[in-house]
Amino acid sequence: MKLTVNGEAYVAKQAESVTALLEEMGIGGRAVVVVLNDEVIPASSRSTCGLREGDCVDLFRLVGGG
Amino acid sequence: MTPQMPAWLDPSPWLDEKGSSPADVERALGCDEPGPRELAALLSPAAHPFMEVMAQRARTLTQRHFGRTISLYAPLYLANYCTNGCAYCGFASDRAQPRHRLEPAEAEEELAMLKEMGFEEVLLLTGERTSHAGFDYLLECVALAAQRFHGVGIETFPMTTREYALLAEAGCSGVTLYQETYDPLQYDRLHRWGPKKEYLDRLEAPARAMEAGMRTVGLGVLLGLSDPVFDAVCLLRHVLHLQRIHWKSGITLSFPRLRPQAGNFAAPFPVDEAWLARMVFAVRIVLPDVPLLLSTRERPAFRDGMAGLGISKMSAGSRTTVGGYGEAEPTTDGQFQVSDRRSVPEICDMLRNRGLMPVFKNWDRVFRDAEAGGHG
Amino acid sequence: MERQGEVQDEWIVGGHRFSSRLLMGTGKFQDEETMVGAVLASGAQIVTVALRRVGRIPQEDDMLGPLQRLRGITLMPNTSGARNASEAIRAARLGRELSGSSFVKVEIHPNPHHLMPDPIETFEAARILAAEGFVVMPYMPADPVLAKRLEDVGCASLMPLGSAIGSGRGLATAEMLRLILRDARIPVIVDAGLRSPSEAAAALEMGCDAVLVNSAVAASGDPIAMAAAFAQAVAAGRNAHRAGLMPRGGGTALATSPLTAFLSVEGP
Repeated sequence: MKLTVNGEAYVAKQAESVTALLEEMGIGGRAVVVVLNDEVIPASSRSTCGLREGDCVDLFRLVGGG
Repeated sequence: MTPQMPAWLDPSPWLDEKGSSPADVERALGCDEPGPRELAALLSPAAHPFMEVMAQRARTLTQRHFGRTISLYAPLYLANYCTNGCAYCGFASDRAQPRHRLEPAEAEEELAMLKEMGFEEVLLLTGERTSHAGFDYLLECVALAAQRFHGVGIETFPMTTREYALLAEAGCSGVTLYQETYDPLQYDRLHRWGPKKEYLDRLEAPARAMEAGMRTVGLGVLLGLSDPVFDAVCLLRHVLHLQRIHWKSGITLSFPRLRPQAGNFAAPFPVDEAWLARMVFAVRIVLPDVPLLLSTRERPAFRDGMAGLGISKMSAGSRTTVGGYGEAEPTTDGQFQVSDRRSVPEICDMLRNRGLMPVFKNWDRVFRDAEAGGHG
Repeated sequence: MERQGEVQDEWIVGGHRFSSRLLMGTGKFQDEETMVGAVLASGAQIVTVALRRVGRIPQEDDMLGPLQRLRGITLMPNTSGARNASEAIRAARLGRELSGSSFVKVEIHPNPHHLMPDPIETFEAARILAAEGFVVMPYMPADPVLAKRLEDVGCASLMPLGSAIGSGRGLATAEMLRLILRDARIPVIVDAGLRSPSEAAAALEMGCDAVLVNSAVAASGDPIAMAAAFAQAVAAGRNAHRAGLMPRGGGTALATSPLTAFLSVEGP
């Protein structure tokens, strides 16, 4: 499935759910916030949240700074 | 039942039983951000030897914030009807004195006379809200005054926020309301009957006026009613409280001192001139940018000396009878005895001789009118 | 300032009590170990963190893990990077998801060189975020009127700058800070521009409730030791403020003709 992840084109092999996508990307266990098409997807909804062709996914984490 | 002082007003943390030492006074004078503690020290007996130093500091601060100028205004008593029983006041309802109110035509005449005298700011006074001189009457008088005067203040009775808003819209720019004394027990004793007995309602009224958009609020205590240090610290606390919340409005302070009037109420805590002077100096030191007022209650030589030493605003040529500026003889007694009877030109001459410019401010009204009318 | 009950000298912001008056930023450190060490040495209970996109490289440095595992630390996401209110609001919402706290430091600097905060965008963002229940801590120019406006729209504290971020020019805004302190009803936390612990002490002596430091620690020779030094300075400044500093000298020479002569001719 063709997606845009963090502003770049990305072809996902596992796209049944957001959780699956994160697993595929190797960041399954990490503390990230998922924004799908400008909507924040709470952690509790990730496994049931499906993806569609052309979706925009942004992933954020907290880092040292500020 | 005596009301409780709100926490923001309570001066007790700063009123030490053991009193202040000369070291405390020095510390207060050296303090970068003086507050209630410093005011108490400056008003303590230990500060008396520091009078001259305080006077100098007061003069420096006044010059810095107000220049070498004194603003002038006139009081106009619109009516002396009153239902209150204030033990100290010439207008109390049990005092036998002729009661009168100015009809609009009479008020116009008085206002015209004051304008002739050169005033641009007038303070309209009444007694307590009565059927003879209530809100509607006041609103009408404010509207009349606003046609001629740049600054229209009122010193009348506590009102609701809505009433203050209507007055502001009609052209009222300031509300003066002295708490008289902040000591709830003494307040209760002295205000024997009438609506003025409501301590808290009166206390909260200035905040309501500010909320309603009044540009300035005038506070003060009637020196002589209670322990003056207590009242001074409370007055400061009141100012600080209002400044934190209603930060867009201005505050002015007055220092009325109980003077003799018909009925001869003896001040329970008499305050002499030296003490009054020190209070003005101390308040100037603690509140460098708040206008401080001195009325014609005080004798000429005292007023001359205090002009510019903290005092930045004065009334002149005052009458404390109802009306009294026009041709007609006043029909009432005065609220208090006027000690400084000098005319406006005499006061102006005195000020100029002392290196102070008399100011009859008349310029920022233009912006206000533009705001209301709107070109943009 | 008599703004809040000082039981054990705690201060309260956004309804939360804290005993440490030193806040730490976590940026600019050479590595995670130093950063965590410095935070621990500082005793800070509020620590700012930034929001970044997750890269596609799986083995990215996880700066934050250890920090999140420390107890008694409130993570405060910083909207730094946002150039306007709407970006800051978005960042705040994302930050809340990740940090688990409602604290947000609203930092909006459109100019990437001097990094001065935008007063208008900051006000807008603060207004909206406060209404959404965030504990809004606005990084702001040291402007007394802006301070009251931010207070009025529901900010939990004020974070006026001492001087430009990273400039190390200390409390250049001291006079403005005094005006802010005089009328503030919420805590005042000096943020940005502090270089030395003595400057932090000075801020507390002046009456500020707390300070936030970042560059001064991260860019010092020994960040962990410097963080500890800042903690000591903040405590010293606070204690000095409570003890009441000795008045300045500066005697007033008396004039030859006293101003109060008119009083000796006593009236009633």
